[in-house]
Amino acid sequence: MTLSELFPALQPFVAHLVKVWPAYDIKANFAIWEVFHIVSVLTLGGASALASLRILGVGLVERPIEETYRGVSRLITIGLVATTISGLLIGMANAERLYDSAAFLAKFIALIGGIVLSFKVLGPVALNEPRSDTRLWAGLGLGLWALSVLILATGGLVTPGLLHVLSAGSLIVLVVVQGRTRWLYGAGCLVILAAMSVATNLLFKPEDMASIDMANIVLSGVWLAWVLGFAVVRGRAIIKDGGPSTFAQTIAYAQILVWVTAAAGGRWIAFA
Amino acid sequence: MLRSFLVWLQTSLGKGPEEFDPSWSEALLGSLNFWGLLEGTHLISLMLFAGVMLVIDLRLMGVALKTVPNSIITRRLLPLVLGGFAIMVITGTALFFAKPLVYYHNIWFRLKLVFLVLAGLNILWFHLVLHKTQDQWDALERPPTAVRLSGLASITVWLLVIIMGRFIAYNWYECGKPQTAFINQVQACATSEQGAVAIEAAHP
Repeated sequence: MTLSELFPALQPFVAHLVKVWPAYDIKANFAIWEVFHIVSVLTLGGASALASLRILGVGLVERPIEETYRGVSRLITIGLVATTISGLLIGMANAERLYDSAAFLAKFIALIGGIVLSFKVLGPVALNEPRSDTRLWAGLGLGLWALSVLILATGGLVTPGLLHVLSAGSLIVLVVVQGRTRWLYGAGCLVILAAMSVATNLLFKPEDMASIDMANIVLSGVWLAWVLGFAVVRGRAIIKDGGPSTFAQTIAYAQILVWVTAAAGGRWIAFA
Repeated sequence: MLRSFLVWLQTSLGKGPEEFDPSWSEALLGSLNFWGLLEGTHLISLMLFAGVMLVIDLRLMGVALKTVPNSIITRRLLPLVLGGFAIMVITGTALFFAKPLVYYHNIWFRLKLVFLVLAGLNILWFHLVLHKTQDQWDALERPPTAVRLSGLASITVWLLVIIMGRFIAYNWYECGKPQTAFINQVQACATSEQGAVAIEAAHP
């Protein structure tokens, strides 16, 4: 699914965008603006990851969750504003390509979902001050993230980009689970990755794409189930110890992964 | 000698017996999705590494998380930074392996390595000199000037590493294009397959 398929009538407008200021100036210095966008994304990603990981019991555990959130909330805002502005500007300069890209649509929807989760949900959850509309906003943010994942999953050549989201999720769970469970979990992930590698490179011939695709889909499903299983078990233990609720933990995972989805979509614009 | 090793790495290592069998390096570069996944992972792990590092440096500068002592920040966040860095090094090495000669003759890659060394020196300076007095400034909202400078230097150098890394993708100074003598010299273009072309020769 691409914007050109959804809104074909916009084609003349999109084609004209690059001729409008500041698009042509940005196109001339595209690399600089691209770096600005990347630095904005990593500021946003790092700061929101710290707040979210603290909710999951990782990071500055000697201090309350609220203190970590308050300490990085300004960075989240700065990163979000800079990401949005730089993204819109480099998008203008590259509009025709993005208009035809499923990866861009996934990125764009993940970005909106991320903005909703960052501005309307993460704060009340981290400060433990839920408002009457927090769950509504959470539903919207999570729904948009799910839609962006669906677009990546059905986007043909961009679908491998989903592995970034899955591997990021598995890394988060790796730091969230503790003790011997971490070794068991990590070993399981490595076995699944090894099986994927064997299926892709040794078991099937390179021209047998249908079998390779099926093997990757099945093994990705097994990987996802493995990650979710450990996240649920650890989540219950956190609640038992008096930690944040299932809702708060879900938001924490989603808050990190929505930005990973946006970054993965952004990177795969260049590949497919 | 280094270039000969890189030629072997790119063209001979893992090459099959047939004439058109690819080497491992060529197979990696030609893979349908693996190279893209490596590059994407390299970039996304930057979010973990540089994003968290930025927060640590801003704390050293007395800008973010001012109420949290530096020792707690270091103890709890450094493992995340190191984890991100490990993924970046692994994926970065694999990316280099896919195109060693392109990177070898690329001015941005060479500058990136220089800034990586500078970043390492800044870390050494912090741990060998500033860290010894941490008890005196650990909980201060605004650490001493030397500590704040170290944080600023870290942000600056890592930013330059990121900029150089992104610029590698652009072929502005590719060997074989007309360049100034300085650029040809820095990239060792004379030893590249495309050779060194002087800008004066292209525009007499």
